[in-house]
Amino acid sequence: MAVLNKIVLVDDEPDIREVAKLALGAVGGFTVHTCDSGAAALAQIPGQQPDLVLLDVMMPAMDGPTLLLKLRETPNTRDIPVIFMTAKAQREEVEKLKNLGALGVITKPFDPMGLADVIRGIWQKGRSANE
Amino acid sequence: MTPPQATAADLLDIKHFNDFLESVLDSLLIVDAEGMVINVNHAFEILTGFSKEEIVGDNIRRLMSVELLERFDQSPAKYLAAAAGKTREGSTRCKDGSNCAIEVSSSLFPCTQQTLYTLIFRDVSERKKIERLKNEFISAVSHELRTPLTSIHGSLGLIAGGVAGELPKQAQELIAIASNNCDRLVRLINDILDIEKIESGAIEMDFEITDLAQLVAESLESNKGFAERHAVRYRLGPVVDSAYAQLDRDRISRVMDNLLSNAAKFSNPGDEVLIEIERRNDLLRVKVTDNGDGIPVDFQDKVFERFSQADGSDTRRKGGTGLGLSICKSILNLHRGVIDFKSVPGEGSCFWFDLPAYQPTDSPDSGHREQASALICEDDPDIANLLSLMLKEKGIVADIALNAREALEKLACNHYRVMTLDLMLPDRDGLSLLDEIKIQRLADDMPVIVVSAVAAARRNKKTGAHLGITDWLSKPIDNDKLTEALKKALMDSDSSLHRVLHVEDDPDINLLIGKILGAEAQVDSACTLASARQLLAVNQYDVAILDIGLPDGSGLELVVEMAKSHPALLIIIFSAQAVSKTISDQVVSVLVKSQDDIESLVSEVAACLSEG
Repeated sequence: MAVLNKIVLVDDEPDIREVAKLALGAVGGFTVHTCDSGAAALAQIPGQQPDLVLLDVMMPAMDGPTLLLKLRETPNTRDIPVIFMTAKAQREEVEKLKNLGALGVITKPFDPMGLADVIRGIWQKGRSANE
Repeated sequence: MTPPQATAADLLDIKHFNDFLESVLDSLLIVDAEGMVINVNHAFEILTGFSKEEIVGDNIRRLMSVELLERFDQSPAKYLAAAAGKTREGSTRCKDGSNCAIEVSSSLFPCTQQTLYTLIFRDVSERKKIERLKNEFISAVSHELRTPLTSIHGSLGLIAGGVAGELPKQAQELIAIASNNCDRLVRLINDILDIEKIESGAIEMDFEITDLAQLVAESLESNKGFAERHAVRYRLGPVVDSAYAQLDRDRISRVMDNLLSNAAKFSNPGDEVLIEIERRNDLLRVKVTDNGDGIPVDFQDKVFERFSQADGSDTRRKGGTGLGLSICKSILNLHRGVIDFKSVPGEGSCFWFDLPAYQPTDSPDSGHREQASALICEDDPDIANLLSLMLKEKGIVADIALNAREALEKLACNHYRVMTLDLMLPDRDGLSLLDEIKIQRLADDMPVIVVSAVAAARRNKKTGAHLGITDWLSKPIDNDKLTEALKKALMDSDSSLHRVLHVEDDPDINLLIGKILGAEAQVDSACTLASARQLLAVNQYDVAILDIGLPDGSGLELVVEMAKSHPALLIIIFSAQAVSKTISDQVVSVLVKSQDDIESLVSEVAACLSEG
């Protein structure tokens, strides 16, 4: 049975990367690897083969949805589940993001002490939906 | 050329009226059933750049965008029929090829020989530009403010959670202060963005028919933790059954969250907060009552304003943003509801909000609404809409059945004075439906007007007479022919059955009288003065039963009005109140609700009917 172990986090803000890495790693016990852009993510995710990708939406150069589409194009990254993180919490925007094929959407600011549980919950729901 | 100075009397003159139309800032157009432009005013020429000569005689499709053309070209007549009576946002093509954002309203132009529509184009491009800028601003602000807050909130949360190790006591306290205020800032930003969206109408509402009792119960459950932290209990009072309303679940839940948390915050430890749901005629009221501090009298008129908090120092410690009630008020406005409160300082407050109750059309309670007197049986919703509009203009309210099954259901629950029938229904042939109606005795003596594309081909005098068909009209519908057919149909029906108008706001009495008298007379119920007046304007009645205490006034007003407008009408007063001699002299009899029973009322009515 698959377990959620390794997460790759993609966000252009260094402070958010640090906070989220602690929230997921120190608090949640996951192995966390971070990338600061879509380009870096595309270069590293195929090799990393994480169980989950946590993806910021608003990034310069390449935004979250575009990165998701590119991940879906390559066979060895196509099936890696993705959860979006966004500061734009309007209902219509959340719906649009879910329809792109993400497992779920986390809104910023998030509760750092609860983030790991929320992520685990979404990931598990996504798996049981597929089985 | 300077416009002539018109006097009030002049304005009745055709030429001055024409000048009036030419002076209107909005564009006016008249088009025929297929969209050919018959006339336009000067404002149209200015808006689009097309001159009157260039556009009259041409089709309105010349002004439509490619997307709209797809639908319009499939059937121009249907497209225009569906748009009638509505206002929509759209755009018009201009002579120079550009598009201009407009609001379009369409209505039926009263014309005797053909179907014509009046269109109004209002230029909303400025308004749209401002809306777009505002939305972009809201989006940008939401992102820019929340991004650094994520880091602040995150860091503080991690430190407070012990991730950076054990902290000295004072550091812990300071971190707690920073963390709480950061939370407040997050909530404040959310509230501000919400309120801007709600007030600018940019918010998308998701209206669904919802069980209000269930929604309230869920709110109590999710706010229980908050109440416990304040040592307060929520108690749900007896709930009225069948409390359905059309509402946006998220938004109304938010209103409940706000009222419940306020009640808990401003109660004393150990207190109870009572939540009740009541039915008031067509409205559902949710009440939240606490026995806490109450609201100071000189603050009471500012309660729903933004950022107003009664006692700054105290309530800020209680963690409010000062926007909650303002948002609640905006949400209720969007639901066409009301929110208000009563409060006595030192004793407590009762906040309540009203929502229009949802009435499923086939329920026996539907006697509350204005009674439909016609049934349109037509499977094409656009044509059904057009027919309904045409009947409305003649003062006739109609129900719509889109197939034979729906028609049978509606006829089983309601009495109609006339029915229009399409012959080609999806689930059954129209004539076979009439046969069924006759066999089941659902509508004896109800005249039927056939409105069908195949009316001429299927017309059969013998079958028609047997099934109660008084006219066979073809499509497209000729408004004049429809008017004649209705007059004929309704005049016939008037003489056959006695008609009783029952003005009473108690639904149980309405239902009972309707059932008892329904056998020998047609009973129309009205539960307000307004709907009684509407019915009196369109129909002839033999007897009227009047209650006095009505939600929008006294039934006695009708006695005075009817003495003038319907002198032959026999009136029986059936009310809890006593009446003066002057009134009792003008009516047939006065029955008092607690003393006289329904049976006496029924005998009185029967006596009147046999006289007439």
